[in-house]
Amino acid sequence: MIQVLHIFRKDTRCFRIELGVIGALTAVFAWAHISAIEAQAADISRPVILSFLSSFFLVIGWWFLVTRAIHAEALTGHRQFWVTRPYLWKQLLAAKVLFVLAFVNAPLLVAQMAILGAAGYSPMGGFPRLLWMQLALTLVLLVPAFALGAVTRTLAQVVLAPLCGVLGLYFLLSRGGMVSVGFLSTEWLQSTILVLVVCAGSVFVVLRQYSARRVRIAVLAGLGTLVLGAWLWLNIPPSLYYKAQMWLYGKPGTEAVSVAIGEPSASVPPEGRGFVNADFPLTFSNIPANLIAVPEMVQVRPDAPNASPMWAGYEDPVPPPTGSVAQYPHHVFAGSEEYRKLAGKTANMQVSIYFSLQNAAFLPLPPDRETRIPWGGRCTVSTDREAYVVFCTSPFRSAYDFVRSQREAGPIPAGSTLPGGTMELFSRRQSPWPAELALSPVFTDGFQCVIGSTLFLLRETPRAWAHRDFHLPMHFPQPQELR
Amino acid sequence: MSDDPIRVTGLTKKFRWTPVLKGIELAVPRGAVFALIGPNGAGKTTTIKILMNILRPTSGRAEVLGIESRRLRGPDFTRIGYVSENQEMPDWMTVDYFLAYLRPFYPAWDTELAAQLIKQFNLPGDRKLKHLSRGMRMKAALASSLAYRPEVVVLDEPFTGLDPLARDEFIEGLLERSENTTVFISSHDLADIETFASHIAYLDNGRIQFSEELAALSNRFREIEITFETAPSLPADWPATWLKPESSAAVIRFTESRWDAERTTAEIRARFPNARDISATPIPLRTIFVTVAKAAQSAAA
Repeated sequence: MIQVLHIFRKDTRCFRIELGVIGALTAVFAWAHISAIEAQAADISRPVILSFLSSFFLVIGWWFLVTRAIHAEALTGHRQFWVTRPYLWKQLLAAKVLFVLAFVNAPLLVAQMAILGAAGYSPMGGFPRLLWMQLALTLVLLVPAFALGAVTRTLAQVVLAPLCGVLGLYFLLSRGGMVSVGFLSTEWLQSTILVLVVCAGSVFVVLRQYSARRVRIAVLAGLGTLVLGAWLWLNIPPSLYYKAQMWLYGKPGTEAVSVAIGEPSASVPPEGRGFVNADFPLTFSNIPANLIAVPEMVQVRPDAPNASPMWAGYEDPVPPPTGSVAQYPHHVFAGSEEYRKLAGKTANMQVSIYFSLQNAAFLPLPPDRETRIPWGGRCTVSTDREAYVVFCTSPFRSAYDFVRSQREAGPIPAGSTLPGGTMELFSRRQSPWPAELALSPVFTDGFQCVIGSTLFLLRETPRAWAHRDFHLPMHFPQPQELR
Repeated sequence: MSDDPIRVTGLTKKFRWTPVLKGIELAVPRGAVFALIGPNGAGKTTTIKILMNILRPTSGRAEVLGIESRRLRGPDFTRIGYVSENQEMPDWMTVDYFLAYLRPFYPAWDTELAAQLIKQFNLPGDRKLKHLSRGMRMKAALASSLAYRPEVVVLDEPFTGLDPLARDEFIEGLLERSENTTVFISSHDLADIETFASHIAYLDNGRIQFSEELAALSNRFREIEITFETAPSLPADWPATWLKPESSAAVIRFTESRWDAERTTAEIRARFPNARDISATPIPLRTIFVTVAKAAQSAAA
């Protein structure tokens, strides 16, 4: 422990100027976010730009500080004075970890508490979630920076190595023709796997370097981790993610729900050269009361060996249909070449439909008042000269899905859980984690709409996940554009 | 188990496919000032880096203080000092802070000795290492490596780029403060070490050509001059230990590398029965090394 503190004190003295800069950046970060909250700035405005820039430069500053601190006892090369001195590698590593905790995590924690307090939330009440945010940030930002510092020895290498890595990965992916399909409601799972893989690789690199200083093995392990992470990101079948969701959330109430698939139609979207938009009308019936059924993913695979599956992700239910029966014109994007093999034919298909049952709660946002929203946040609707200005803050996660209604002002129809009119869904988070990955613990969002609009907040809470498999002959129409 | 603080057996090192060390053997006795001499690129620095566990050997074994070099860890370096010409130092530290920083790492650190070394080497305590001359940096490194009275001090080309005064101060400081210490020093210049080394090894092209006490080395090399009445011819069975043979008119000269007055004279008489006169002259160390180096080059060619 004595050696840990001794090296820590040395690093503190060595990097006193850098620490001053990081301290100033952290203060600017806190001030900028507090200013943006106080100004109720939601759209692109000076406080928002400043808060974004302060976050960006703070992260850059951390990377610089972390790698510089590791380079003080560089782990690559054969000329460092410290390798023939009585350093204990565990103590050296502990000293560097302590340095990061003291000068990255601790100041950020203080800044986050200040932001929480300034936004009207209790910093002490949210302390466990703040610690979670610190953990997530450490895993995503600092551990990889640590690993990068462990296999480099100059600032130029620190800058160039990630650039080369990204370019190399891009080259590989573009050569391999791999395309990522975004599935919004399982994105957290995809991201979690990526973060865990990269963190595990980074930890291996750091431990390997500190214990044995074998750069070649460490670099290979680091590169292998990146490639593995990218491969898993792109190649884990979405069905696996949904199976994991089903395991997490269970299936209560889904047994009675029946799903029917209508006749598919196909068209080539104007913007989608190389793709065919195949519509699979889905009808859910026997939906339990007070819940909505949301199709999360559809997988369509020709019932033939070596056939490539077609995927479609979360279907944005705008507005989400309520009642015991719900219909969706689900879009499945298929590659033109793949679809051409099916076009004009009737083929036996395997269709898997993954869906969730969600509790949709609508909360009216009356003008000129502050309204409490789920997850402990609040929204205010103030009246400007020509518009309602809606501004919401929420601690630790953006727990609000805004719904705007351009309908005439009026109460929600009795007996209905749905407001009419045009609605817009702003965000949709399914992550079970207690806080989202961000620097600021206070999430803000807002918009303006015409005076007289009826404003609602929609919160969808997943209650159950399920899936249905079908084997059925399907006729695939020949779109004009493919002829 | 050997008592030699440094022991190397069958050590080889390849960088990719290029062999740098080709099975070297060394034994450094306790208390010796052992010089490893050789031309640039001979493998001296590689040998030392393997001894210090900075590099890993391809095969063979190197031991320092009875510990295999691959197993040398932090605590072992409380008994070992290492100074290298190209070592990267924490340049931002002042000399005083550098020594104060290192002190807690060494249980046997002698603050008084460190102060004496600073004074003896005329080191400016308040100056940053990056602002020191090369000689001053080397002396600061040496001071930091002697202040805990290590059992072994390993110095890799410590005199490179030093002016004569700095070199003398360095040597003086080293010898005065290393009474019970084994010193292992590498250099490409014999003149640097011949005045104080007790043992010497010559490394060339990855091979140890010889390794022995300096006095014994001087004793076994002689320049032999044989005078004849008529022009002689070199015999076909020329001994391998007779190096650099030359002949002119009525004289043959060569360097005997296994000089023994009685035996060598008898061998010469046997090969040259008509020799009129035989003289054997001691030769300076520098000449010995040049002779050995050239002989090694000829053998390699």
